[in-house]
Amino acid sequence: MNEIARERRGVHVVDLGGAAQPEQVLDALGNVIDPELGLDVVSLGLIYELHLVDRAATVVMTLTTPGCPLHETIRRDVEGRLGKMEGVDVVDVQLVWEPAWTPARITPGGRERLGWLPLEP
Amino acid sequence: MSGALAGDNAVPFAVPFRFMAVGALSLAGFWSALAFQPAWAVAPAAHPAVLALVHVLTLMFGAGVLMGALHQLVPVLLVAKLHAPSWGGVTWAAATAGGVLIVTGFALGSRPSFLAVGGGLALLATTVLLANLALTAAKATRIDTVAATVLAAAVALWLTMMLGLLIALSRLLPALAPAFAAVRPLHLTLGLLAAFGLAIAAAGHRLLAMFVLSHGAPLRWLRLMAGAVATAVIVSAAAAWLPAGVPRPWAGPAVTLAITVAALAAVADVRAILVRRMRKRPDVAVSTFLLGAALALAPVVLLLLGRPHDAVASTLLGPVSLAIAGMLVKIVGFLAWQHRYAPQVGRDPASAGGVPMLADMTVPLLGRLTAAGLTVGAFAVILARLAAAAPRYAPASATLTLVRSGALVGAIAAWSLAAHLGWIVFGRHRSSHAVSVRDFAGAETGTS
Repeated sequence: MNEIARERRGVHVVDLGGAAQPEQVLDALGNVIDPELGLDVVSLGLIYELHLVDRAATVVMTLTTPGCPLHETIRRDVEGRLGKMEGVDVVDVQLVWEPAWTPARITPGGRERLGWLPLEP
Repeated sequence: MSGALAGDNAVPFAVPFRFMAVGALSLAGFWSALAFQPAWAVAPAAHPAVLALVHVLTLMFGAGVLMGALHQLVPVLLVAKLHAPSWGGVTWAAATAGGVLIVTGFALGSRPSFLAVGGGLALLATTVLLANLALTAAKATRIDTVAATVLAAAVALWLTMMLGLLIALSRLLPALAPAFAAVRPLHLTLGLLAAFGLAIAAAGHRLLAMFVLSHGAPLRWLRLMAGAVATAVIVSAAAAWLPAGVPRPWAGPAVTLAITVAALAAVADVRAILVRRMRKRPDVAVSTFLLGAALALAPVVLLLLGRPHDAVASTLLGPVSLAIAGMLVKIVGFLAWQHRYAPQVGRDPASAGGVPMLADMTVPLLGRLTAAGLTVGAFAVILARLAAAAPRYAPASATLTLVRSGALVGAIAAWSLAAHLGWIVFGRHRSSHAVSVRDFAGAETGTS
């Protein structure tokens, strides 16, 4: 099996011969939206890792605040969107708090839409 | 996600919302009553009508919304499920009935039986709430500074109700009056500073940081504020229970100093969060909260000028009302989103962007009307109170006209808030969110 690890849109993507295309999976994750910020989880930098093996997708992600109770909604959204993709039969969403999310993980496009303010040194 | 008010640790929508609905209507009732009876704004503080009006604002609006919010906020802050959501119904029923009885009791000329029964119900409500929160905290693996401060505010609310009941009982049983005559200032200090002040500052610290995407704000200002509030309460308690005849010249200056430090620390905390924010333009609800924070120093000025009653009035009408009004929109928005739209999320991946965002549920115009109107109303009332203290310079008719005008604006603002919440909960929202994936053209760094 030919493992390929890449950084794509701030996500560490490990493709171990997955049936789905990483770009398409990231596109699907880009439709999972934070209802308060109006930004998707990829632009917010909440997706740490994406592993694709055969017809399984594992998403390692975080939330902006530990204990955020929206995690079930987000998990369901991720599972629903990826589960209906061609080439994905199994979706595993792993929520982690280490490393802690910081605003520095927001992508340039996300920063633009938020009206970016640079952090104080 | 930034939405830390709903979801897994969420309580049923009705539990917090009914507190908030009664609270918003109470605020509207307060300003409407003042528009009809402007003289109440400048009447002596002990006048029964004034006490009735004050308790509409403090007990039914402020404490009511606080109790509702605590049902949702504490589980989120503690990362633990609320021990018994069903107890929220008991808390709400007792708090609402108690509030109505107390307000009615004062409105009827301070009827002791109404006040005692109402005070008992209010204490029952906060006792059930406190037990619920304590049992929730027992399940938490960690209680951080923010959660501890919010829990301290809940304890302060319970103590406020306890003292309120003691004051009411002393009206019913005159023999008790000498023992509890001196606790009124402590009742006020606990309620205004410890319950409202700490809850707004601590919840604000966490929520404001989430809403404006601010990370890394230090906790030292919040800790300083909590310490200053505790000092004010302890000094007030010591002054209340010292034997009669013992001079207390230190009490007033010490409490004033502690309040000044608390207000400055609260403002510093908000500033520390804002300078670290990444979201450039806060929405109208957050702006309303910030307007309240900006006005937090006005009561201090009045206190230093020797106008304690005006300081209390300005605290309630300015920082407390605005902060609560702003957070009401955010909290109710989250709860309603979770209740109405979260179940749709993930069901139909083809309908990306079809679920309204929180911003789609709000009406900025109503939010701006609320913020501006409450501010104008607060300034009008405080100016009128200051003018009433100098009748040589301000005729009574002009003072009352000022109050009536300001109260009308305040009433429009408060009814706008109620309408806004109604729209958020029941309105037909349209999604304006246009999903734009792949907006990030990041470079790929491949390793194999």
